[in-house]
Order: sequence, then C-alpha cells, then structure tokens
Amino acid sequence: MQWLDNFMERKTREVAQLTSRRSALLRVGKALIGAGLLFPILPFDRQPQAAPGGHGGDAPAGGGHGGGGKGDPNDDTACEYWRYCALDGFLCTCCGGSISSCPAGSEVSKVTWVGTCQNPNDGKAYLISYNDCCGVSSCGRCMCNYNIGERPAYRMGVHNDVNWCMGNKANSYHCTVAVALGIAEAREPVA
Amino acid sequence: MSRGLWLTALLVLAFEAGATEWAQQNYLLYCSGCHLPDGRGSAVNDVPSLHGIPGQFIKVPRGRAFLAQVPGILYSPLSDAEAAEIINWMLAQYSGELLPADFKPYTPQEVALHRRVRPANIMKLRAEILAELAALGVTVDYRAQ
Repeated sequence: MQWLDNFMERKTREVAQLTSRRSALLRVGKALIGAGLLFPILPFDRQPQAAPGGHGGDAPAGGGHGGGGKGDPNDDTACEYWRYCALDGFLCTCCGGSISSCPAGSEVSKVTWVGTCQNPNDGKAYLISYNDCCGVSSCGRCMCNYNIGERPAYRMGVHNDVNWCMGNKANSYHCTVAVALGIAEAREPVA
Repeated sequence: MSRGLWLTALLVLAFEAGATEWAQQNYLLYCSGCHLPDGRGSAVNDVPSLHGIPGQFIKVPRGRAFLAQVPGILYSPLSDAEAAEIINWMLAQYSGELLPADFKPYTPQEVALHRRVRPANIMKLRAEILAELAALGVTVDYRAQ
C-alpha cells in the first residue's frame, strides 16, 4: 500500500502548491451555502405542508394503516373512517379499545380537543372529541395522520400534534379515540 | 294581543332557543376540551369547574369582567356576540342557582369592553377578585368539581 500513501502525498502537495488556503475556504463556503439553498440544513417535519391536506386542508395528509385515501369511511379501524378527519396518532380500535373507549389498563386524557368531521352517510358535520388514552406506552398499530380543520400550535385548542395526556398523572401516550359529542350546524358569522 | 306582537314574541323565543343551541355547540367546540362537556373541569390541572364558581364571580364588577377576560374567552377566535352567548349559556347551565333575580345577561357590547382589557397576570387578578369576594363573605372553592 506504499504506492497509495505516496500517491496521496503527491496529490495533496500538488493541491497545496497550486491552490491557496483562502480559495479552499471560499470553495467550502460556497458549497455549504449552495447546499443550504438546495436542502434545508436543519431537519424538521415538512410532511403536513407537502401533503395536499396540510394544516387545515381538506385532504388526508397520508397515514399508515389504510393510508392513501383508499380505506372504508365506515370502518373504524381504517384511517379513512370519517370520525378520524383530524386524528394524529394510533387508533384505539386497533389497540384493544373502541371508537369511544380506551383499551384496558389505559386512562382517558383529562383534557383534549374537539373538532368537527363530516359524516358521509348523512352529510352532517359532527363534533368529535379526540381524547388520548394514557398511562401505557405507545400502541404502535394503525398510525393515522389526518389534519382536516386542525390548526398550528398557537391555536392549541385545535391542535393535534401535542400529547393530550399532559394533564394526566401517567402521561405516556397510548392511542386516540374519536368520541362524537353531537351534530354541529353551520352558521352565518355572528358580528 | 295583536298578531304582530305575537309574531314578534315567537321570533324572540325562536332566537333565544337558537342562541342557546349555538352557545352549546360553541361551548363543546371551544371550551369542553378542558372544561369537559359536563363543565366539571379538571381541578388537578387548574381547569376550574364551571359549576358554582362563575356564578360567584358575577357578584362583583371586576369578577363580572373577569369572566370575559379568562384566556379561553379572551384569546379565542369567538366574536364578542358568540362569547357573550357562551358566557350567558354557561352561567345558566352550570351556575343557574347562584344567579340573582336581577341578573343582566352579557351583551356583545359589554364583552367587547371587557375584552379590550388584557390582564397582564390573570392569576393575580383572580386572587384579588377572590379576596374581594371573601370580604363580602363569599368563598369560592377551586378544588370542588
């Protein structure tokens, strides 16, 4: 391997003789700025913006089980189930619970957020309470992420990226239920 | 009574019923996540119960203003009219027994006035109002649900 060492040394010396350190720094700097423009340097989640749904959009922002919009809107173990229009998390219906009750051993979150979803069967909008089930480690099954009507964190009351188990004693997140509280009716804006 | 008056009375009744319904819907949408659909709140998380407590606050002017200045009302996207509806509905629903006979419902104009004031320290203000109420012999138990 002596030849490789010699080769590398020769080349390195050549480069050092032919170029200045300042020019090398300049090139490295240019490369960094170029890369910064082409690719974001800091990692952050662009999925909600990139997907057609996005925050407050009308289409699903992808998802795991049943993702891609092909699931049955009446199957409560599919992400496309109509009540899951703004659910971000694991479906309790896949984790031993039901659409409105937590799996055994987990506790329903003390605080939560309420949104509306349209039921395709009657065309009406329903008030849906997205309670998290808490106190047990993540279920890991049926990950869904739909964000219709959901808003960024500065409107926390309608935000689904937070762990709503925060108000419970045991605040590990297990899965999410979607309880229908009633029918929401559209209204002309009130002054 | 003339037919016109009857019609007006009916319209007023219909409007009242409508307002309650909207108030309840907005309550569920904007408030119930933390105060819970039954208004019991979560004392361990400092989410006050709506049973009793707000009914005591309206006994002093600063307390009455306070109900329109709590963060959930002040920083909500609700209009002044919607906020007034919710407060009136919430008082009747959960603190009805505490309301004096001459209780005047909040108007959108009143809520707008209160909402113009943004208390810098809401907990300090609350403590002051509680002290004011205590001086009148009214105690408010935040641990009750």
